[in-house]
This record gives sequence, structure tokens and C-alpha cells, in this order.
Amino acid sequence: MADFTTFTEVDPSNHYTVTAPKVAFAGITENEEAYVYKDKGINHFDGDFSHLFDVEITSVSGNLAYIFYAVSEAVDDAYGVYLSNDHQLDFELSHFAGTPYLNLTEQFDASTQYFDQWGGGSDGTTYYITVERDEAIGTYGTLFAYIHSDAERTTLLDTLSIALHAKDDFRYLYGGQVWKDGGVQTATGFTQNLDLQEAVGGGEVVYFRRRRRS
Amino acid sequence: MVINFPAECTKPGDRIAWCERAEEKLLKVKSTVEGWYKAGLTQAQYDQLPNRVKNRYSYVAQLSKADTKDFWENVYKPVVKTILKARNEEWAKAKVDTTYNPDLDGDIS
Repeated sequence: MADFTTFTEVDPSNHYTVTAPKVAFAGITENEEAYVYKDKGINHFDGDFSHLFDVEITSVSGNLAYIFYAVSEAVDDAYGVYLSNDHQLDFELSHFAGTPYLNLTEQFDASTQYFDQWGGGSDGTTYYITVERDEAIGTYGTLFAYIHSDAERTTLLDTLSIALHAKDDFRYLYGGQVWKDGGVQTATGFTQNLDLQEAVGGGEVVYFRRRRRS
Repeated sequence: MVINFPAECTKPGDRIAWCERAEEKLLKVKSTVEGWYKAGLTQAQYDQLPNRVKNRYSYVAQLSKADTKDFWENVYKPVVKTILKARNEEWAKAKVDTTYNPDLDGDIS
């Protein structure tokens, strides 16, 4: 399980409360350079991956977007990533006309966004998400998100997918990220229990010296 | 795993509709299998499941946790991925399909 206290918190307005299992936000807006991220190392997220996390949008004051989770090529707010033509895969909220839409999104070079969306949810409800990249499907791989209503992930609400547009490796992991486009509406909610399902000590190479015969 | 669209289902819009309906039907099957694990299933309910499921799991009153997990990994996910891959491909075709020429002023009021 990811420990969010080891992440870097960029939070000029003190709208984040970060504990080991949880990134909670209260009254966050689209008018602040705020995000919680970790540098996992160059090309850390390569190939297939499957990441688990829980999200909730508790309340909002109007239309806005907010990113619960992302893997990205850049450190910035999500709109900044979008404008700088960096590649990012994320799971986000798009709250519009009273309906919370959960979006699986690819922000791609040339400031292009692709997304798939589920609009069957409600504020104040926790959703249990699995985001998977399967590089064997499609030219550049396909991103999937399974949205469950229970922590055991037995009750599936919807499956989202995007045919990806580049086979990139990602360095940065986000547990929360503002879409800073100047909006003043506020949102309260959280991302928690992020599980990258990576083996402990992954990447470490252990050498065994062969014993010389005497 | 590939999709064999019905012969008359050739246009991107039709194929997207087919995929959406297939995903919805698959989600209902998933719900039934979840119910089979949590609360059990009658023989009559079992008989309504697709052969893809029945050929893999014989009828028992309550499905085991291991079989439920097996269903998720080896039935649901491969099938939904196949459906959504096809849908995404049809979406890409639909974006450049010039069958219609939407008037962004007159057609949207």
C-alpha cells in the first residue's frame, strides 16, 4: 500500500490533509497550484500495471474537475500537464450540472484529451477503482478502469476503457491533482488505499556468488 | 478472442451500439455470478447463463470464492476487453466517418 506521507505535497492554500493511507481535500478549487505526487524514478511505470485505490467526492459547490489519481510524465497541475503536451493517464472527477462523472482520461501530446466516462454515481459515496494498462491490446495498449461499489471489488458498476495513443513509460505518481484553470468552485473528498500491486523490493537484483570447489 | 459482428452490423455507429449492448449484457452476467457467490443461484437462474459460463462452472448452489475470482480473471476481463477494444476501434472509425455532415450551428440548438 502506498504511504502518502512519503509523497510531495504542493498545497499553497492548505486544502490537503495527507496521512499514510489517504489524501483528503477540503474546499479545494481549480484556482490553485495543488497536487500530491511522488517521483518513482525514470520509466518506473512501464509495461502493464494494475493500480487499486478508493475515491469519494463528498461535496462540490458547482461544476469542476479534479484528478484523484494519475501517472504522468510531468510535475504540474493537470491543466499545466495538458498545456505542456506531456502524457498523463488519470482517473478524475468531472462534476457537471449536479452529476458526478468519473472519467478515465488520457492527456496526450498536442493538448489532446481522450476519455471514457461513467455518470451513474453520486456524491458522498466511496467507489473502489482498479486502473489497468494492458499493452497487448491495441496498437499502443489500452487503459481500463473497473469501478466497484465495494472494497472487496465484487460488485462491478462499470468498466471504462481508452485505446492509448502512445506507448510511454511514466515517472510520476499522483494521489491528487488540481485542474488549475481558474475556476472558483470548491470540492471536498479523498483518494485512499492506493495499492500499486508491486512486489516489495521490486527491481532489486540479488546476486549469489558461486562457491568455488576446493 | 475476436468479435463476430452480425452480417448486417457494418457501420461504426451500429457496431458501437452492438458493443455497448454486449457490455451491458456482460455486466448483468457479472452481477448474476456475484449473486451466485454471495447468495446462491437456483438451477433455473443458472440455466439462463451463457454457455461460456456454464461450460466452465457446473451447477452448484453457491459458487466458491476461487471460482468467482476465476470468473473475473478468465471470463469477464478477457471478454470485456475484447468488446471495449472493438468499441474503441469503431469510435476511431466513427470520428472520420463522413456519412453525416453535422451543422454545428443549425443542428445544435
